[in-house]
Amino acid sequence: MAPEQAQAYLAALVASSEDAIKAKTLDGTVTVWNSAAERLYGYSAAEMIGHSVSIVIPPDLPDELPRILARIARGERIEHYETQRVRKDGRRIDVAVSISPVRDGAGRVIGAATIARDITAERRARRRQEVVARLSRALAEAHDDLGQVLDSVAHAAGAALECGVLVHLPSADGARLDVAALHDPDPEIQALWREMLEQHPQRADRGLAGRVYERAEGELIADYSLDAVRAWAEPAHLTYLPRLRMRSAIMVPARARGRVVGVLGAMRHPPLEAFTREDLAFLQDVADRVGLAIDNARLYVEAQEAARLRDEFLAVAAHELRTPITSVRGGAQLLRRRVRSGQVGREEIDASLAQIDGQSRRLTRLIEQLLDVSRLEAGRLELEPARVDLAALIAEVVAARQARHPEQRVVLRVHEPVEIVGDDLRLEQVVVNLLSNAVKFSPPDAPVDVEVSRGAGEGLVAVRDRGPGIPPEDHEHVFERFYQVDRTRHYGGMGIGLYVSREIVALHGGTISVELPADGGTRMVVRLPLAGSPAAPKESARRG
Amino acid sequence: VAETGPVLVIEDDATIAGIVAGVLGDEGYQVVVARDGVEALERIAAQAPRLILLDMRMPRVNGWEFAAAYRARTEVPAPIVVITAGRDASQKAREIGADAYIAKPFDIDDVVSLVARLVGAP
Repeated sequence: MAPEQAQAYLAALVASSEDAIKAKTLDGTVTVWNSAAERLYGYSAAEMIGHSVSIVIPPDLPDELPRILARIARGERIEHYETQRVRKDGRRIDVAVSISPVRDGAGRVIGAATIARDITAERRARRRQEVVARLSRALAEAHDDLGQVLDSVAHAAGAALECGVLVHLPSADGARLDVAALHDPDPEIQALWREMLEQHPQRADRGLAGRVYERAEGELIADYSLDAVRAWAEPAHLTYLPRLRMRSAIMVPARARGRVVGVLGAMRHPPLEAFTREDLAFLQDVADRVGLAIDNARLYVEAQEAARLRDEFLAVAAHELRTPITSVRGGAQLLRRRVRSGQVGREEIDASLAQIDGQSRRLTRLIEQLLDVSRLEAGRLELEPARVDLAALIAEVVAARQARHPEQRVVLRVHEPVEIVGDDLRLEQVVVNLLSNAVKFSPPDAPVDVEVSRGAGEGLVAVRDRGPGIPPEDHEHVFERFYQVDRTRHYGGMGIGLYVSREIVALHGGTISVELPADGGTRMVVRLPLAGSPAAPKESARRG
Repeated sequence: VAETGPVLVIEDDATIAGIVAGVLGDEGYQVVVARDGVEALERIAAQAPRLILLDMRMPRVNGWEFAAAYRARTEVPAPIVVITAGRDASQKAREIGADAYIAKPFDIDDVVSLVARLVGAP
């Protein structure tokens, strides 16, 4: 091929190349600039040829061009070098360049030929994958410091998207979306953004965040303008929003087990480009992992709380079990001392043994109560329901108690039979629990009132004492497992009587509640569906 | 400290109170029993004890409250022995500045020797 023919082929190849091809002298003056280079950098060949190539080099990389030219001058080639360049419109792009020395006929290096490819999208995707992978690892662990985790999420997602990132968590009552983390590359905007949300908290039913929270769907506002958001923005935020210099915004829900547990927002400032659907998908990807982290943190706190409660319960249970054991052991030891010293008669031996027997029974009852708790937790406490006259059942329980403890005054008011469907042994357990609580907290000599009556479709049992009452803040807790209103004062018990009672009543389709009569004390009210009402349990085939 | 006063047993469990009072009575000590801190302060007002055996968790006035009230109104308080079925009997004893502690369940021989060590023979 003749040299001029080869030249023509080469020129055609350069002109039609998909990759940007450019050449420069050793002092950086552009000599070749193909049309792909025009598209990549935004400068035309006319604008570049004869001028320094340094105009496309970012100002923060001042050493790069001299270094490259020095290596080329030594005759070296530079292969797939990844760096950044600045387009005519000011946008930064990631490029991969390969640079070769150009020699004259005598073999002297006279310039550099460069092939450049735009790898912005590739690099962004890679960076985002890294962010997501790093977040996945960090978020998959259980954390007790969710705030710190969300803060690092805001930083990482902000770096990947070149934007500010906000993480909202709903307040306990669900009315507000509180700020859990907030980060913006511009510190002034970050401060203003935080001030806006602190002075005027985001309501859960207002603004873009509220809309995303309610609809559980991500939103992209590619070209942000005040007019676009004015209709539904928080009015108090309108004075701040222009100063936040928003170019483009995204809000996505953080979901866990089908519920929205948070909202992530991203906002980008000029001169950066608008967010794309791809950016929205990326932030949603991050938000899905954040949802898991929020859920994990909640489970972690719950697990710790459960462990703490269990520890406390074990301490209380141990205390309760040690008391009858002390009586059994001390009673037996005292009896032996007296038998050895011969100072004891038959009657006293009999009384001591009866006491030891009674304390052993008390231990058995405590263990039964503990087993009830584990049966309830495992859902294995089963009723054997039959028709029961609640009035007769309670009269029996009260009479039996009066026979054993004639010193306690229990006033029973029963007007008529109250027929329900229930397990008589379990119902008896409930009434015994309520009665012993009432007696335990009553001042000496104060009567305990027990009332059985019929209401609309339900039977009602009320046990009322004249003790110190239950503080209102404890009302919802007294039925919780292991809960005791005052642990420093010993009234006996393990904090499970009301829990077990409530569960038994619920198995009967009924309810149990606390009332505070105006003239003092506590009134516990059990409501059970009457026989024949739809809420009543089915009668068992086994008994009754 | 009253050299001759009774040993005051403050314990809300009647059976345990009876056992402690029984064994100390057999040894020749004079024993008074109170069901809780309120009753204990009444008994003390009637007769100063030489030693107090104190249960911590009781209804009404508990062990902590009793110890504070007793020391506030007594110039030369009697030694106090904490008796508890809870965790950390020694810690509870330190908390109220007690002289000794007995963890439930206990051996009655240990109660007898501790009382003898603190106040001597009956």
